[in-house]
Amino acid sequence: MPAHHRAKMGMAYTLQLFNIFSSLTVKENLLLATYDIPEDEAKKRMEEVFQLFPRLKERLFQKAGTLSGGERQMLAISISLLRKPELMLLDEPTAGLAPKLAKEVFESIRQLGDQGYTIILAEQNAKGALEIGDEAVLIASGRIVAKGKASELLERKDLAKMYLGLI
Amino acid sequence: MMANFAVLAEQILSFIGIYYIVSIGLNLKAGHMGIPDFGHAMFFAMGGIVVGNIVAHIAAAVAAKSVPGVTVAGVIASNTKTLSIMNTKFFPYHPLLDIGLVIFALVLSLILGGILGWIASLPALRLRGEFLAILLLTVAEGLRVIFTYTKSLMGSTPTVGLSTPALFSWTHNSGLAATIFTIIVALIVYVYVERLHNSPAGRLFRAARDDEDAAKALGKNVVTIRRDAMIIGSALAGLAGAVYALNPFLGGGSVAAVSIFNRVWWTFWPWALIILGGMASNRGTGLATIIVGVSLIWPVRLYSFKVAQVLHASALGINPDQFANALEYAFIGLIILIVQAVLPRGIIPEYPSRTLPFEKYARGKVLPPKPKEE
Amino acid sequence: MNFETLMAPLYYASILSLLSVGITLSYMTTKVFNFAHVRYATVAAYFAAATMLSLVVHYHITLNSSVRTLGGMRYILPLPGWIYAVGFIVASIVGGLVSILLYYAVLKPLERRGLSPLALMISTLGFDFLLVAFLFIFMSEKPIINLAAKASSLIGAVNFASLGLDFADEYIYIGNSMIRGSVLGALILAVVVTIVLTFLTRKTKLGVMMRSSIENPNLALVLGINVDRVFAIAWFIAGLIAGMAGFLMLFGTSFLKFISPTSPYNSIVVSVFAGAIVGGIFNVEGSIGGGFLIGLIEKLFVPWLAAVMNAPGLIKYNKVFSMFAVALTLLFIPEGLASIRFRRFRRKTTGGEI
Repeated sequence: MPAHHRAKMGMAYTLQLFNIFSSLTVKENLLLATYDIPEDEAKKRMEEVFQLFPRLKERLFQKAGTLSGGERQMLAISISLLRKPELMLLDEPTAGLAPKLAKEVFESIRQLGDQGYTIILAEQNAKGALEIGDEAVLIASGRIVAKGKASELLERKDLAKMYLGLI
Repeated sequence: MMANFAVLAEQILSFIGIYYIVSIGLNLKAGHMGIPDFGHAMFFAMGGIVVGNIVAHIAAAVAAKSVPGVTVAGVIASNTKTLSIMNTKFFPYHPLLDIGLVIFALVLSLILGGILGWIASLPALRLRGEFLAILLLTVAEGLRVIFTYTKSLMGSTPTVGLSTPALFSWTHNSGLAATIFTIIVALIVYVYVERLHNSPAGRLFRAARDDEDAAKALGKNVVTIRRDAMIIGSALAGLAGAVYALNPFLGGGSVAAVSIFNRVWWTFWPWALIILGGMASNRGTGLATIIVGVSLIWPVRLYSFKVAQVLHASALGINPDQFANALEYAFIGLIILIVQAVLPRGIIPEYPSRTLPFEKYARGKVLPPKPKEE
Repeated sequence: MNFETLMAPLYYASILSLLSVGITLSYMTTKVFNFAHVRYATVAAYFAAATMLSLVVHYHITLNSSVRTLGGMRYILPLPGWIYAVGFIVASIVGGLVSILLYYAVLKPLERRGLSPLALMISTLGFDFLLVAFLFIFMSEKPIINLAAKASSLIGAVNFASLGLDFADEYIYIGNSMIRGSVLGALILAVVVTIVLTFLTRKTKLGVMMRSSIENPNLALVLGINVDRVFAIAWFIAGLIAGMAGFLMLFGTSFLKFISPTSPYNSIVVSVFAGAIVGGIFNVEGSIGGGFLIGLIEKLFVPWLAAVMNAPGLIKYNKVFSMFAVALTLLFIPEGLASIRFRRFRRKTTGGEI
């Protein structure tokens, strides 16, 4: 199935890198995600996104390439959000971000989860991801080594050691 | 009928020989080295100019002493007349000079082609891919314009050009002699490129093509490798140009800017042939040239009228001559498209070079060393 | 400089710019230099000519006298305007369709097989040869000759009968000077195309989709954009504009030179590539300007230089100047003149202020 059909069926995927159009303005980036949605509906969704990421509203007419790393991730997530996806795939949204910014991004993802979005988050920052997640699967060298409630996995000391490569 | 057949066979063989040399030059650049040369015709033209202009001048300088009506200035000023005098009254009676001039023409065309290739390699070091292709195409076009309108280079009328000296007229059958000569040169070129293919230099070409950074990391100078490939490939194209001008079946006794700078004949056809044969495959190019040589000359160039008749072309008001042209273009277009779609690696895909140890393994005398287990 | 002497250069420059922009449009979208692009114009011109001649024959259009005298000079009467309009539409649609055919029938299947951009460029060359074969078969043959003869006997014009197919121009007076309709049309078309394309790429949804698909096709796909179709539209537009240029070529004084695949002087392809590269292969407006610049260099600057240097032979070498323009551009400003940011220079001189 071609990728654009999957997108139409309600799957949204945020790439790890190159996940925004840097030569387009922020507004154009957002418009792209809503081009097949009726205008007033698009406006409504846009407002919701701005509530979540108020900073994007300030940057509306700026080229997306000039945004900071955290803002880029926010824009990338917003592009996915505007599609009102049934399923959101986030590929390492905190990659390359400063810890403070990563925290902000995690916080917004948690808010999204609270709003009822189904999100699959692939993340190497295990602690941050487990703190905000419901269910978690831990994969090492391509094999599943643990799965269960995120809060339970967070408690397990052996996993922490494995994560650090001690086992 | 037999005589006709012999001439046809000679034509086909000449065609195959010349296209093998010119295509293998391009193959060296585009196939082995990955330089997309869309200006190949300009190197080819150097050979044509060597024969039509330089060799004719030298011959006239010698002939002026003994043959009335021949002057050095006359080679350009009254080209047709001067050359026809020399071709009937001078060249048939001086076989040794003719052979010397042929060898001189081959050497000089190699040198001139190589020098132009070296010049063309300078931008080739800065640009890559399609941009280089466009640049070389444009430069070839610019050179074509310069040669077309400069009287001292290509004569006064661009379409007529210069008559070529008939350096095989001392034999009884100059067509046959020129054909044999063409085939011999093509075979020598084949042996050379196969040796090059197996040599460390040839492997270096393909190594630098496949992974430039790895070649650099191993201490190889990619700049000189690309330059060498450009020089050798272009020199071979220049050689082909000289052979073309010397062979009466190919040049038709004259060289003109419109024929030797023709980018369809000497750039795009060679491209089609190396795509058909397989990039970086010397044998593939040879096979492709033979297939196209037999199938193109036979039905298209000579039997187009019959083909047009069979297809009832004239009922539609189609002129058989135009039909022949159309058929040739359709042929080259279809070769490019179909081969790229069906056989992107060509009829004989690139084969590994046969180095000495490789030969031993191939014969089974020595087992290759086992890779070390970790 | 005389007004009349500006006609041919402006006409040529406009046509070059209309063709260059298509090269850029197709390169930007698929990263393929399209060798068949200029041939679209020829094919489109052929169909437009055939259509217009058929209309003349079918509707028995007769002109009382095919020649009129204006200001002491004799001019051939133009055909009714609606015939030209039909020809224009036919030419542009044929150009667009040929372009779509190349995109869907050749490029897409080959791209799916994993061919490199260079191999795809060679495949456009293969397609170009098929178009040439088509032109060879149908261009100079009896059906069109008969059509031209019939049409010219109806309207009493002499020049249809030969293969020249020079369509008569309307002449428009501006003050004391006379401007050829085709020149004015070419200029206006070049300006209109520039404005429409700028608006299309900057302001419309399609333009945003196009720019996003060019920058990052994978991300565009993820957002549900049918990148193939967006690119196909870009190729259609490129072909459409080439078709328009082809229609304009019908009025050229040397139409056959443009159109004939046999003509060894048929080197407009190189000038068109030169225009696209000099103007900027990554910039639509830049390539229109580049085509215009190359056209003016070849047909205005070189003749002027020849006159100044008193070397009339120089005019023939005009393509050499294009060659140098391309070489210098590629070696020093590979993204073309449009990539130069003049504001940056200004900022330097005013000490860092914007």
